[in-house]
Amino acid sequence: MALHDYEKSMNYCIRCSHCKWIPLNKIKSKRFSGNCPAVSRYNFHSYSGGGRVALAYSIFLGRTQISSEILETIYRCQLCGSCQVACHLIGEICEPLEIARELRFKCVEDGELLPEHMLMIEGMRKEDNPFGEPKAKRGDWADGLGLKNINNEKADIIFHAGCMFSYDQDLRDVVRGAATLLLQAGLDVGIAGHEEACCGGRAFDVGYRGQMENYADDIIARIKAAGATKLVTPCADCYSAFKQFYPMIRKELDIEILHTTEYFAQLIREGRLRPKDRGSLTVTYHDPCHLGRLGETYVPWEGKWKKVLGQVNIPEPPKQIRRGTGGVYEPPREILRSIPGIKLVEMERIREYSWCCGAGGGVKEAYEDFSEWTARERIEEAKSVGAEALVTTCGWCERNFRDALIDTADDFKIFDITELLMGD
Amino acid sequence: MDKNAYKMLESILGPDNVSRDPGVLDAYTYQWMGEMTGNDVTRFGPFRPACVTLPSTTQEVQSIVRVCNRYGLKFKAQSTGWGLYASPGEERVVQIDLRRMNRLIEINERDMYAVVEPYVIWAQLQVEAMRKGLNCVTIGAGSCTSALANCTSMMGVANNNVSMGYNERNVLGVEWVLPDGEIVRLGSLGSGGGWISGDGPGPSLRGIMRGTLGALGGLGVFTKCAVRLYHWGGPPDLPSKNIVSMDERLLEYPENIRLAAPYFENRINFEEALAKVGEAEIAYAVGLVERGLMTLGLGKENLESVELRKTLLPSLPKHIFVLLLIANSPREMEYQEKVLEQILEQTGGKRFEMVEEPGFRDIITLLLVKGGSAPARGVFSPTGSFSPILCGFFGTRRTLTKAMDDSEEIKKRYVKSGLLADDMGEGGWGPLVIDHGHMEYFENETLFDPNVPESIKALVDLTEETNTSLAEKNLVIPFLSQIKAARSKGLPVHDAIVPYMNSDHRIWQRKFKQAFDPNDAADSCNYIDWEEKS
Amino acid sequence: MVLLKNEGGIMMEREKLVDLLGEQSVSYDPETLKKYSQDHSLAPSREPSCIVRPGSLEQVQDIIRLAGETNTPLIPVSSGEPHFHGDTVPVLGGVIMDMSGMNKIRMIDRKDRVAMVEPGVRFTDLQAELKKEGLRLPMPLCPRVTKSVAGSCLEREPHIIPKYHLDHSDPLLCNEVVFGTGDTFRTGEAAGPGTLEEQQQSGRRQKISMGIQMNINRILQGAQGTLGVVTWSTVKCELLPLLQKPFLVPSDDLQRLLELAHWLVRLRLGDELFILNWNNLAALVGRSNDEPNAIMKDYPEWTLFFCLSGGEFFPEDRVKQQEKDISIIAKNLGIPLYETFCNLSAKEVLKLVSSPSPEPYWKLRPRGGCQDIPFITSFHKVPEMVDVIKQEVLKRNFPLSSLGLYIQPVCQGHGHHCEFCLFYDPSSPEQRGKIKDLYLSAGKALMDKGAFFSRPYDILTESVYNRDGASRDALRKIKRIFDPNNILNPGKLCF
Repeated sequence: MALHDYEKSMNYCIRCSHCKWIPLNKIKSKRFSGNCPAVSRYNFHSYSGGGRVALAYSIFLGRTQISSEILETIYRCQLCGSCQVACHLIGEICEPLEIARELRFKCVEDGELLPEHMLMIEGMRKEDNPFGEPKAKRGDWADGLGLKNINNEKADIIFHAGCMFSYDQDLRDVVRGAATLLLQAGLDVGIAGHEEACCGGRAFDVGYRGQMENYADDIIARIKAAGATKLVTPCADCYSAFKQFYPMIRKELDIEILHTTEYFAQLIREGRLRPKDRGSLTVTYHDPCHLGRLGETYVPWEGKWKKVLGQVNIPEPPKQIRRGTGGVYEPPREILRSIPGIKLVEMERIREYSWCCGAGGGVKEAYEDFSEWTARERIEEAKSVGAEALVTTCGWCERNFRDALIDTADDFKIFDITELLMGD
Repeated sequence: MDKNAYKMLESILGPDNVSRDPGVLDAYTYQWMGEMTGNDVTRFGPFRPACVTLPSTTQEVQSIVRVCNRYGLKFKAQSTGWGLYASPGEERVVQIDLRRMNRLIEINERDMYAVVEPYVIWAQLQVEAMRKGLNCVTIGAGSCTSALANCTSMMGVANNNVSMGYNERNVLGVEWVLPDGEIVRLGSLGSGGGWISGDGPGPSLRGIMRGTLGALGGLGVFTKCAVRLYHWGGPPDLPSKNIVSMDERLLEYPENIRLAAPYFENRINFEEALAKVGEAEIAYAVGLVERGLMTLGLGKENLESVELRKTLLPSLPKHIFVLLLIANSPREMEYQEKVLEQILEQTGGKRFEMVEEPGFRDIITLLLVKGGSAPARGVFSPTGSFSPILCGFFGTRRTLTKAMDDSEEIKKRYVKSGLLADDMGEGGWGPLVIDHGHMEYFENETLFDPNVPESIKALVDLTEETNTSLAEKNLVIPFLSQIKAARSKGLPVHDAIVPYMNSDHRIWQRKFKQAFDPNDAADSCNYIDWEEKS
Repeated sequence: MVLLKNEGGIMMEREKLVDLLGEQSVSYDPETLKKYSQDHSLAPSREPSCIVRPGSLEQVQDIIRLAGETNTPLIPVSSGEPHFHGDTVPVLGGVIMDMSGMNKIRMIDRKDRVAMVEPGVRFTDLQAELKKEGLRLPMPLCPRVTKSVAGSCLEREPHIIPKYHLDHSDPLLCNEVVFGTGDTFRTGEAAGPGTLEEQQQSGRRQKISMGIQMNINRILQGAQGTLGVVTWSTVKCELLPLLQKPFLVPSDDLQRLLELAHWLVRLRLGDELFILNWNNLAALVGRSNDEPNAIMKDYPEWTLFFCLSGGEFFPEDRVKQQEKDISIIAKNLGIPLYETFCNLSAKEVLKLVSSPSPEPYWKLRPRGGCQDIPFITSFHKVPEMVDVIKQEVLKRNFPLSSLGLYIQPVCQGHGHHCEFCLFYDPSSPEQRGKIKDLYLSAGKALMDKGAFFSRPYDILTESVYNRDGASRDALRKIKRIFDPNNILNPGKLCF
């Protein structure tokens, strides 16, 4: 992939600014009508999805180069994909999200690197996680749970914890809870423990394509060896990497990929998991970008654009139009609705047009203030609909929401769905 | 750009709100219709701004304008900035991006207006107004466009113009930073009387501000205005499921709303029925999407649209329009429906039931009330770009069908060349009737590929041919189409029109320009040159 | 060679005028000149030197050209007397341009609901012709019989059908105008393509009032003839109803009536709608206290009048439906509707307001003279403005029984036009003096509360324009464009 591959796409932005708003018919208030944290915060058109397309095209044509201001523009973006959802309601040739990511590949290729990202990649290279935490401690979260070790034995389900859940102590209950619920349902679950490596999604997002390729190869091998039929993860980032990024680089995981909520919802339907009474609580659900609109399976396309009916452009063969409609939206909601005592109220920006938590795209690492600003926007929205707590199902979202609240006196609650399922 | 001028802008706005990075500037140079200018088919227009500024208050706007006057720079303001109109028309133009001026200041329920800053979009205004039982005109360009820009500076018709009027008349008090940096507040606003009127004292300066079209940046910067709102008899919200327009379904179809899609044997009866609908004052919204356009752009994807051409076209009538009835009481609904049936009987109209069934009914109702993404999808997705011919054709009873016939005839020839999207010449869209029939409106959307030079040329040639044809028939020349054709050739926008006119408006318009913009600071590429150019 | 006197010395030659217009169209009869030297307003008196009556566009062009060459002020007048606003009283002397001789109805078109009239056409004549085509022109509240249609429209006088009052400019559409520079211009779509005849042949009816990027009509309105002289105008007409059912809603509670009016206008129920206080109502219907069939003294302070109508499509059903819907609103507000209240029937009022006022002009009936205070305000401020005027009136010992109040929702409910009338005896210098003081103090008090004097007249003019220096300066620029020599009605407005 290179900008060259998007040459046609870059000339097809129509500059309509739909990329700055949630789908127009879904707007419920002026306050919560924006969809793009970057342009909402920084305002220059270059920060929007369409603006990045123009920027990319300008660089591609040699009209401009990557300056420090442009570098900042490129990386002050969570790559949350909301611009692409909005854009693809209008057209199908322009790909603002992919073009925005291509810009990062170009930055890395050209040696335009952010020190914070370099640190993260260094951590990955040394310890197979973006935090630089000791690899040897990666599996510690599972101590005492009795999970199979897929390095030695086969298991039907590979439980991929992901880096955040492996290392973040605050989220320990979530990952342990998730694994426990699977075990309690009588499932054959194994983990790679300290051998588990990062999915590489974060590396990919900040422009280090090669780094993710390595991780993809690793997990493919591991899956094969385990003889597993399912790969289940509680981490939305990993989920998205497996379903979207890996096919983008033509690495296919020949296994059914599920997020824990998909599985839990199925177990609840089958009666194999009975949610406990949580006590009365009004919650709202935050759709993580990587589980929702970026949780669709990516279908590679190597085709051409053909003309019919005069100048009408159609793809040959047919091409996936990524609008996020194939993401995971219902299972988490089903779960919440099934937990006694929980009342679910919806925010205004949900599902395909959910507002990002702020953590993605390397923003949390390099632009913490922007990351937390984005999170605070979301928390504001959650409160505005009368929720007492914000519930999500992504470790990165949870971390970022919690961090945004740390230095405030605000005791607004953030939960993972798994915590609510576990009960008190 | 003069570095002192830049420093001054930085000190006024803060360094975070000014930029002259070429990449940032190119984001503003890239525009829809950029492909129609310059020497290549990229969407980059011919002129990069000197810098981009992001003011947040009227005072900051005023300061920017004063800096420009002082340093011999020009300026071009944009709100949502869609289209080449929003970009500079020459070198050394400071782009004023009004995105940070996005306050919805007030909704006055009894006097029925909203006070907005430039970056409040129609969708935002509408949702806040609907909560209070009020509504606004949401233009065909899309509800992602600026309410203020549409009312003060631009053009834009809407399906609900039939009941709520064209936005040239939907503006009350206005706050206006003139090109020399003075601030004038129109009407009651300037006299301490609030926003209630934009006219006076004495002669109304609204007459300088705009006609069918505004000055598109050529006469300064509008920083606030009061937009008229109207009664909304529907529910406070229209929640729907699914996000793709053709999949969108209302969770509940309101009881007091009805969609009808009558069709007719010929255009004469079609227009007669429209006129009667207007005179009977029953419609909330009226609209036309001709079948050629419908079967080009309304599928979930282009492939599906192309299929629709095969599967749907045979059953689509040619002379059809849709109308939405909204009643404030069951009695009123009964009356409206009875009148509609009578009109159809008188004009030989029949109802196209497919459109009135759930599914199409929801999609079209949402389109007529809210707009959404369907309009943009319909005209941009198939080929990547479009420009309406007859854009700005405000007609009346005897001229609407003439223009429809004329444009269709000419367009068919161009469509045959394969250089445009094949809509069979039937690419029409429009509210058709405005102000219950006192005006009629139609434009013919013409889809072309921005990557194909011959396609662009075909569009420009078609535009010029249709404009000339209308002029020679002594029909109104659609001015917005004219601007596009003129700019693609680097020509003054009014010069091609004036030879046909009995009154040379350029004289007076130029005098306004000279009087209010003594230093020629406001970029006039869409307005009129400060001096007549030979 | 007789020269006509003018400020500054240069004069229009009488012989030249007679050459251009004919002897019968030039008058310097002292009696007639005196009539033009003052009117019912408080504008200072000043006699013109001559009256000319052009009969064509060419003659108007010639007069303006000649006036420009000789620096002679011209004061265009289209309505007949009595005049009320001081706009036809020459401030610096000059020549009255009596446009009443141009009085053709040039075109009426049912299909496009439009009529083209010359300045001298009056409402009575136009309505009679429109009626033949099933049309009507919404009209201000009982204008005097001598009122010019074009004159009224150019003054932005609001009419009494708020539903059809789409903008303050309504019902004016296009105009043909000769500017003070001598240039002729046609506004809106009348500018072309094509000549007027060619346009009409192609089916156009000079209906689209907007120019391309300007709207000169809006600039001409409220200008009191200071920018150009209009030689024809098109006006937007509406369909004549086949059925009408009027109602009276008397109440002492203005707020409730305003609320009712708001909903009627907002929901587009009914056509004619306005609110009058007792004094105005009595004057309008010609039934003041001292008349045999006077409206009873205990008639409530306020009356809202509205009228339902039905047209081509099921008129009875329409009226019935609207009546039912309105009665629910009225019931919720606790105010009953009447077809007749005490000894006054709504039909009687409808008949009156459907035509210009019979003579004497209704506003002159109570005392012989009337000073109007017209302004625009918002819904919530109307009662406040009423309180202000009452206080001002009481402060100056002016009888409340001589205060007429008229409230008109305008622009489809976007604002209210208030017209407060001070009835007085003009033959009494004492009363005249009092009126002047009251007019000035009330005007100021109202402005201080936010009343917008959108078309200021006579002695209030300066204070209105001084409140909005930026607009004033902009208007002066406009004046320099259209009338650089300041020959058209100089001294009016802010120039």
